[in-house]
Amino acid sequence: MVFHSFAFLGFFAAVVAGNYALRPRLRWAGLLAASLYFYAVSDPRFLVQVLAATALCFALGLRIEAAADRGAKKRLLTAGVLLLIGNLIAFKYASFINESLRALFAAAGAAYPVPMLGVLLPIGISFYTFQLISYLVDIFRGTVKAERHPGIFALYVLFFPKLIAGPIERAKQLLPQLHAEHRFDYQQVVDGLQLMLWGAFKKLVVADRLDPVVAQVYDNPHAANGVTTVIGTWLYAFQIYCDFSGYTDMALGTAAVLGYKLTQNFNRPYLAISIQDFWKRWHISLTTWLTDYVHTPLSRQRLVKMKFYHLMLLSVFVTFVVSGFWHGAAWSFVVWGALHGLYAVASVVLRKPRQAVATRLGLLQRPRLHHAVKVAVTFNLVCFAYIFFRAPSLADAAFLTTRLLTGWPHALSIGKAFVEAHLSDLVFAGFGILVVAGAELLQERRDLTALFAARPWLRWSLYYAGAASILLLGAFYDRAETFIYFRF
Amino acid sequence: MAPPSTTWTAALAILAKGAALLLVAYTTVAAIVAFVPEGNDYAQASAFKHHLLAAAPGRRIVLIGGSNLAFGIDSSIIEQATGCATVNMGMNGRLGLRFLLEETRPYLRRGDIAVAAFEYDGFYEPADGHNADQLMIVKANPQAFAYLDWPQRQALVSAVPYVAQEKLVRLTGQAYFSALDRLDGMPPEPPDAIDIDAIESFKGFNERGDLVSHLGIKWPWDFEDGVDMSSMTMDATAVPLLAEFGRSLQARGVDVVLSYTSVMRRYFERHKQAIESLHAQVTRSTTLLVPSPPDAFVYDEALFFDTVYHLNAEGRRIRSVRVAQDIGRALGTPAPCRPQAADAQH
Repeated sequence: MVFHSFAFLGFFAAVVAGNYALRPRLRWAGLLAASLYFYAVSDPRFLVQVLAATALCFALGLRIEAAADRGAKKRLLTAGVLLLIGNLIAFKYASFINESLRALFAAAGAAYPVPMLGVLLPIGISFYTFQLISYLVDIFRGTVKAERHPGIFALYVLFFPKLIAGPIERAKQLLPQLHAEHRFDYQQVVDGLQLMLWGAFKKLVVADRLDPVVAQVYDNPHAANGVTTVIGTWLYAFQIYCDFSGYTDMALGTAAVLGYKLTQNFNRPYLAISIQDFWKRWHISLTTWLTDYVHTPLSRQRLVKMKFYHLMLLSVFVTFVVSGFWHGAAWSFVVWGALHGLYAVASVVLRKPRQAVATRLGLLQRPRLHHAVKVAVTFNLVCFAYIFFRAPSLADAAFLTTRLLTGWPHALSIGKAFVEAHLSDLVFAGFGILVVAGAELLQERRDLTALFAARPWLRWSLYYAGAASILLLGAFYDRAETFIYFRF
Repeated sequence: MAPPSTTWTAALAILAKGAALLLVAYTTVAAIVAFVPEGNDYAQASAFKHHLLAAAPGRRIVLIGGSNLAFGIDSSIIEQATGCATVNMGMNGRLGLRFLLEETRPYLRRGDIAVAAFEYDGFYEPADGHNADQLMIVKANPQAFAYLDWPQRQALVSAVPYVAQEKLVRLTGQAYFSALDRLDGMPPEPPDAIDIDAIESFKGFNERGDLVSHLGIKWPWDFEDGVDMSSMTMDATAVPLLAEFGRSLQARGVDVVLSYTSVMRRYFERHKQAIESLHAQVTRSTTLLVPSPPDAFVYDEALFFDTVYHLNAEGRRIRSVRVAQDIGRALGTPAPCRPQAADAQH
């Protein structure tokens, strides 16, 4: 069940009514039942698995907290993390590992006896696994207390607005809210509904409109040339952003209507002026998770002796590779992560030469132009990496990159043919992109919430324009009802 | 504005405002459907055909089906051969089997001969039809609303945004290409270019309901295919709907004949198994008169206009002769409406 479906609207209306009709201290039970139903409707086969992981971590959390010495705590933590990662590997990476081994054996001319594995990917597994790992580690570190209410802990894991594609919620942020008694807050509900509308606009008017356009390039990479690859990849940048941030807006809005505040996951990422800045703005809950539980421990480890500067660079690179691997069980995702790692390392190592180039070009005297150049360079670096993220395989991605310089002498006619093949999708999505980009540029300079609060006519005009645009321009028909990040 | 004071009044206020917002947005979209002109006036033919059906005197032959009948029948040939006034109700198969049967049911009376011929798509796509096409028919001919059942009527509501989008898509394309023409300094398309909207138009129908605007025009592009039956399952309600239609009209004294759609040979060969299985099911589970098997209406590519179902002038002549012969064979007399045959019948 996806947020922008009629089935979800009916479900959500019932949940909201039931939630506020229940006594505040019983609301967790209603929300847990709704979340279990939500997961069961989406994919009932893995309900037992997510419940088992939840029960295990609930018990382990209590044991870690109660353990007398640090060694025992560490052993329990290690067991818990290994079990969670083992579960993730078994269901998400087993086929990938198996196929990689098969390719390796084939390359060495040896027989590989293990057949292909038909393992299904449980939805949301990457998200709830990371959330549970952070919970156990935080208890070990003493930054959170173990949850003693099994129902509320289950709700912390299964809370339906963030269950399938995040944000990855920390215990410190969400558990106290689940214990608190929420009253119906008019303004919070209105804000939540606004966010849901905005998310639906991004998803239906931009992301789903662009889907077939991008697919034309990436589903048939051997027919692509440099021009179509660049256009397709730029469009993919907007597709994936509006898909994932649209989902997140709807998730945050859904939670807000129910009285809960989830972590903000995006902050205008394509206005970033460097790769580091980009990752502070894109999928923020994953970035902070990786910083806290991968990068920081790695850069402080004492097993490998090296200069702190080198260790830090290495841990940045490894963290990005882990991020790539988290996204998908394929080498193309690993390369995507490694590329971001290389960008990040290079930006540190090449700081002085970059400054020298900027000085030589006179950019330092023109700060606004310098800023614009940095935004453009960062955006295009991100787009180059997207080729690996979006391509069906590593070989396809490599092929597309080798073709990047082709087609340019005929760029106008190729571009025209591309536009004409998807005219209405591009015009409708183009309108959506202008609206989203305009809103984000405005928001970068002033507080839109305050602006709209002071002008109800403007606010209502925008609500109306948003709803009418979704109905008129949204891609409802013949499009798959899903989100890109559901497969992670 | 201060927020409402209690939980329930606040919730009701939000609900009311949200509903009002959706209603206004939906009304805007509906206004586009209502006031932006259609690409063609093909749907206007629905009211005209209903008028023909109501006005036709005596014992009639009523042709029921989709566009295979509109494009592919010369009713005058059937009329001459059988002596029966013939009304061709064929328009658009996407309206669905249910609607196409229901829209003729009230008009058929004792002695009439109903000849049904549906595209094979009609058995594989939903028998309830496509709501966007039904909306266009209802808009052009509000009387058609009566021939939809309640689920189909409800589905019209969700078709409104889709139809509005289709109009925007069309307008976007027109604006883009006319802007390109202006930029290039090119004159508009020459008048002899094939304009499908001029072919699929109300004035393209003759006085018996046959489409004649495509006759003499050579289609320069590829033929549009039918559905891929090998990757679909038949709509389980389609044949029972036909069976019920046949039974109820036969009880009323109407002869109900099932003819088959004209179809291009290569499409037939590709889906032969599915089509023969459909034929077996129809002959087994309905009381309809089925004078010829599907392969009697399989023709070469040279006899088609623009799709695997739409015949050209020569194709429709050949098929119409065959349909007239089939009607005679099914009813046991070649000219069922000539006086001697009518006397023999009564």
